[in-house]
Amino acid sequence: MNEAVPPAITPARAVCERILAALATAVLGKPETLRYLLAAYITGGHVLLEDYPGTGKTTLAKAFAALLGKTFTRIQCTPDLLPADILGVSIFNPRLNDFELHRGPIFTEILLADEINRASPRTQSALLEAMAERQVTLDVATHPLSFDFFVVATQNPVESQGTYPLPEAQLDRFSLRLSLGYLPLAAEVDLVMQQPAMAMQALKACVTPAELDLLPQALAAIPCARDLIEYAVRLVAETRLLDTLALGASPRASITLVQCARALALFDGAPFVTPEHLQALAVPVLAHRLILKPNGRYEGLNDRAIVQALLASVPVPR
Amino acid sequence: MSRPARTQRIFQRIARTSHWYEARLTPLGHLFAGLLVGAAIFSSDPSRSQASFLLAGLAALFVIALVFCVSWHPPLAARRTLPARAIVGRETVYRILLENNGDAAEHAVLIRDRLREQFADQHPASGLDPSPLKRDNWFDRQTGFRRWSRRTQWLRGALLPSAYAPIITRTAPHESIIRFVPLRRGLIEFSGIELARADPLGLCYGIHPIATVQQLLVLPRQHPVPGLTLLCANLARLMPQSGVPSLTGAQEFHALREYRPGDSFRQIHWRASAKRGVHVVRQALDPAPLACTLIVDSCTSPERFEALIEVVASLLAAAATAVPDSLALRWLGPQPTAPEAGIGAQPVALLLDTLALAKPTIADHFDAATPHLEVPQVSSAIFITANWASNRRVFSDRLSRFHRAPAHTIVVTEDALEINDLPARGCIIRGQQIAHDLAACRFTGRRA
Amino acid sequence: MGTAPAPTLHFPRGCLLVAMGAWGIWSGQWLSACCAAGLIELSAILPYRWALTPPHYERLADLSSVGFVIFALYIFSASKLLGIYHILLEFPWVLLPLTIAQTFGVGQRIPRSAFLMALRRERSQSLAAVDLRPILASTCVLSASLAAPPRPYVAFILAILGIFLFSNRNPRFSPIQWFGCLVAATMLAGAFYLGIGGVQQGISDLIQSAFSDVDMSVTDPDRTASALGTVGRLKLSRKIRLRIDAGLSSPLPIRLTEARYQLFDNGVWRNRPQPLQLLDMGAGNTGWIINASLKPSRQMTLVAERTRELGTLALPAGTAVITQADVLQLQQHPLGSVLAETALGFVRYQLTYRLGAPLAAPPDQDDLQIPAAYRPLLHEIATQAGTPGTTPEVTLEHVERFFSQHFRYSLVQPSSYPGRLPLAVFLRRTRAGHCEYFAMATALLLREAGIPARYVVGYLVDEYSDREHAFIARGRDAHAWAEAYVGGGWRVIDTTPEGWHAAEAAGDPVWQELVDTLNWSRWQLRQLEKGEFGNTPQALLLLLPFLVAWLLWRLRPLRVAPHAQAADGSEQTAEFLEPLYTYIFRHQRLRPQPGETVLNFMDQHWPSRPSVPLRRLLRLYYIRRYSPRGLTPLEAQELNDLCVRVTSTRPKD
Repeated sequence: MNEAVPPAITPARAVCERILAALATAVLGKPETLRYLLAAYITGGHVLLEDYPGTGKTTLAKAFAALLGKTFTRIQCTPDLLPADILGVSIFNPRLNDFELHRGPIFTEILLADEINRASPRTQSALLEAMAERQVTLDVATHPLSFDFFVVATQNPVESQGTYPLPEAQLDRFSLRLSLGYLPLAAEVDLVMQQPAMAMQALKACVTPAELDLLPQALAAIPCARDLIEYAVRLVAETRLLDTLALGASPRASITLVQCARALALFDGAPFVTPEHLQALAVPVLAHRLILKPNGRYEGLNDRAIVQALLASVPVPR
Repeated sequence: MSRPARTQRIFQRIARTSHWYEARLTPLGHLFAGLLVGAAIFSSDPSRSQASFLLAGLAALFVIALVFCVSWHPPLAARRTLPARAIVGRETVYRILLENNGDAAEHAVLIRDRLREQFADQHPASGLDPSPLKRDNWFDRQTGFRRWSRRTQWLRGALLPSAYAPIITRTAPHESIIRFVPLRRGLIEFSGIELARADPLGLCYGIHPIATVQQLLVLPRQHPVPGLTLLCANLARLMPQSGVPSLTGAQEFHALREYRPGDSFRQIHWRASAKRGVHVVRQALDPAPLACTLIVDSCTSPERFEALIEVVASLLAAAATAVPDSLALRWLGPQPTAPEAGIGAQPVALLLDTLALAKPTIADHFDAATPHLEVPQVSSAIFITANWASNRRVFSDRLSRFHRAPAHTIVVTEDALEINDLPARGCIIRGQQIAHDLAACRFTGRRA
Repeated sequence: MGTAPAPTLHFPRGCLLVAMGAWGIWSGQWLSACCAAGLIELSAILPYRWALTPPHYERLADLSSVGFVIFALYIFSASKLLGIYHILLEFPWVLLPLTIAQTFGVGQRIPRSAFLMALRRERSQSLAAVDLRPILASTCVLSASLAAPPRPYVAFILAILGIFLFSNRNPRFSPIQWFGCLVAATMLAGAFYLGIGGVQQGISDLIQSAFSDVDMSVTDPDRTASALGTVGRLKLSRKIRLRIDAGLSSPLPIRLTEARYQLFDNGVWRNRPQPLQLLDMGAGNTGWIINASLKPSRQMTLVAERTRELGTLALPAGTAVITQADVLQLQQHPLGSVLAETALGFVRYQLTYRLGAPLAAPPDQDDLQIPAAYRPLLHEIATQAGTPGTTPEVTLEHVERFFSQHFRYSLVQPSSYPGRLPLAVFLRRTRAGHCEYFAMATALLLREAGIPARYVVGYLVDEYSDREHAFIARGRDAHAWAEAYVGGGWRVIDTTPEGWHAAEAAGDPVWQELVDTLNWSRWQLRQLEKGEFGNTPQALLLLLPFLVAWLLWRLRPLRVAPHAQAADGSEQTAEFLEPLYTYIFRHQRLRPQPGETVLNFMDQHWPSRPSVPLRRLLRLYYIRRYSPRGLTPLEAQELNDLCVRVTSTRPKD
């Protein structure tokens, strides 16, 4: 491209391309999901992966962490999981004659919370509070989490008995809700041939922490036209006006939408935000934040359909 | 039943004109208006009739009356207080408060509450004939106007009586009580309150409209179901026991029982065992009772759907009084997954609200929806359908055979004769006699 | 507190007695009416009631309807269409049985199912019930209007309406206020009554002009139709028929003759069939010569509005030459009338005449013809009038005096006297009539006295219009008079009382001015068409507001809706993308949806050609549109070129 590009963007773009390429070889899945995942990571949000069992959610998170060179912990949520199991506990050490803090698995850089909808509400809220505040209060002391703390929560979309669906107000804490989906036939054949277990061992970090530090600056340098911001805000505002919804999306959604759009623009090397970025992100960003009215579900509406209908009806700045 | 747009417009114009006529003119005004028309006709030939005098006189009276009516703008404010919910067929009471913000007292004010103007044919569900009467007179068959106006009234939801305020002053606001019976379930939309006062001659009403938009949710009709006994079991189980999900997360200590081979050592209550001399284990009780499930098949024609909703609402209401918060609704609709999940039971009030607004589905999703149905085996299940097709029969049969707790089937139909293979614990509810048949149904909680 | 039953009509006691009594008195059946009314009122006092159920009411209603139908059929068969008045007069009897049943019934109201068959099947619903007493009272009031004299009827209306209003008035207002309203209403009613009269007059004029102009605006030289014997008020058309430009010094009124008739035959004047002489333009094209012996001294221009192609021209006495006329053919009748064949619409003709020079053709036998049926009548009247006098002059004088002393002008013939001659009624009994009566009676009387007389039809013009700068003759100015042959010449004998013009003009409705203006503007338009610019500037001024309004009306749909810029907010779209959109629209009939971005739309719908660098174009456009940095000049140029290139390539299909 022969247009002038701010200096921060090109190296950042190269970094992102490297990560995405490596991720694509490690995890066979929809390329958009990988981009969105990286976009959420860069913008500092958290991701909810909702998918059927066996589609590679855990693999994705593991590979992602490995490629970024970040510490990775996995929590398998069960109904009897206690908040202490996640956050940590103080145990009396008789030798020191004092309480010693044993940190829980949350003190990591990338956390995978598997099947978060099987944990009891008490445990869910403990995790979600920590996500929101980026700090943990144990006993009387407050311990901050890692500065780029990133949570990937997974859940099974087929609701069944014995699960505790995340309260809708808490779903707002997740920037995006993604799904991997089943692979096409050829890809699945490749997957089986690839012997994934071996591939996972071979993953090494492809970026350095210094390079990762470039990314937030690059993100800030990407401009977004004022009417596109207005368009994003209008999309979110429209969700609040629909009468099939009990509650629409909050201003947090507008911020996330624009930030993630900037991230996508960075990946494309655009280097400005286009309406296509916003439209592509609308469903992952907005769909899980909408609370349908009870009779809405009986009428066959679902949140994705509502967001898509909204995309079709709100006029795009051309 | 579709009607050409021209006829619809004519009907609407007729309805609007007659509404204006009713609203604007007092009974004396009606009489004088008729006289005016008669005088106009009679005075067409002035050589034969002196009716021109009458025409002139009546026209002058109406002009004077209208001048007074048009110039009435009282400083009155009105507020409507609706109840939270209403039920079809039961008298509902609400209040209208009138306040006078001016200094002069207002006398003899007629209060009319107005519903949003909707006409039959505008609403897609208005193909439903609310009354069981067939079109058996020639006039109605020819024009259909009466049927249309009946349907319009049913669509609006209620016939509101008018109230009367003899005097309203600044210090003495007036509160009227209005009683009416809702005609249908759903939302009744109030558009505003009309205050009317007659002119000195008593011919016309001066109308002062106050726009207050409100909605009242009308729940479906509920009949008593005396025979309803539900088996809603509380899960008593060993504590803690992994693998069996605890529904509330809370486990209360419930009872002690003797040790059986296979119980985990951790559950042994040592102190009690020491006292008793045999090994005793602790048992926890999940305090939330596992709900009885109502499985509702929503794919049916609109007429039967209303009967179906009535039956479901009656069951819900009856269950709420018997065992509160113990009912779960599985709605077999367009979504492949059953909508209710989680802890199990929604409050009955919320379920009634959704029933009030439920619409029938046209396409048949039964076969797609039933595989995803999760029904807890330890509580009763009631399967309600209005469409006794073969797949429903199979499902009902399976339910009654393999469900551990008692399972019932209810079929809502017009004609009882067409159903001859109902399972043992099933009953037929006829659309015309819902109350009677529901009272006659026997739901035994025990296995036969 | 606060729920009260809906206000109902309070029907005061005694009201029905008053209404039915008055109706009974005026329709000639007061005894039965009062008895019936008394019975109804008695029901309030008597404790007896019948347990009547809806089926009883229905049967009674059916009985009443059947009785009414039979009665109506009988009346119609007896007196044809006029029987409707009789039926309407007797209508209250139809409602009486039901009213009596209502007042003596237990429910005190009649269910609506008695009137509508559609409601009879539904017994379960509670139906609104009807109180028949006010309806019966109203019917009595309306029926009484057919038979009542005016002043008592007004009093009756005031009484009945007053009773109703007083018993149903709004109690919040004091009786003083109520009375004030009533007084205001009475005054307003007076104004309305005059207005109603005017409206009725106007409507009947309209109807009249629709019919009469076709028939009576063009006179037939061979026979007349007359309005002799019409009962009631004679309605004359106010439509402007002639415009006369005669110079301001001509004496008023201007008398124009259309046709002369000799034979009187059952109320119709006609002529013996005589051949018409075709006139042609004289040598040198000076005009059509009517009377060669006259030396014309004045000129007159007339514009007539013709509704038929063949008809007489209205000419002043003493016409010498018709110098100019928009006619196809002119023929002259031996008695002097000129028959013209013209086009429809405005016809203009110009003539020269000499004042006061009557026709000189001598009378013949027909001028003394009197039908046998009229001889005794005329003999009697002649005795009264004192004719014949000693000399013809004296006879004329006597005749004129007779008519002026004993007769008056009236457009109203009060009632018909079947079996009698209308002229006999006029001469003997009423002594009042319009010009036709006078003219015919004069002519016959003069003939009875031995003076040859003719019946002449024409116009007597009195009205000058400033707008037109001409005299105008309306339909009502059509006049008839007699001409007598005295002293060697024909003399006009007009015995119609003076002031008949004023009497007829008095009945003009308020909007006559408007109608005249419209007529004038039509005439101006016609002149404009023909290229004669008479009072054209004024005509144009009149047309101007209509033209402007019409122009605005036509321009309304062309109002440019603001370009849908709500989302775009930028005019850049129009510049670059509009040609692309148009291109796609022309080929695919598609426009972008509100939620479709440019890229998606173009990608999906652009008819694909590998050589078309659409991607690059869109890329540049996006930079221009969404990037704050914008395009470099080089890139802008490239974008322009690409745009042009892309729109100029055509896809294969």
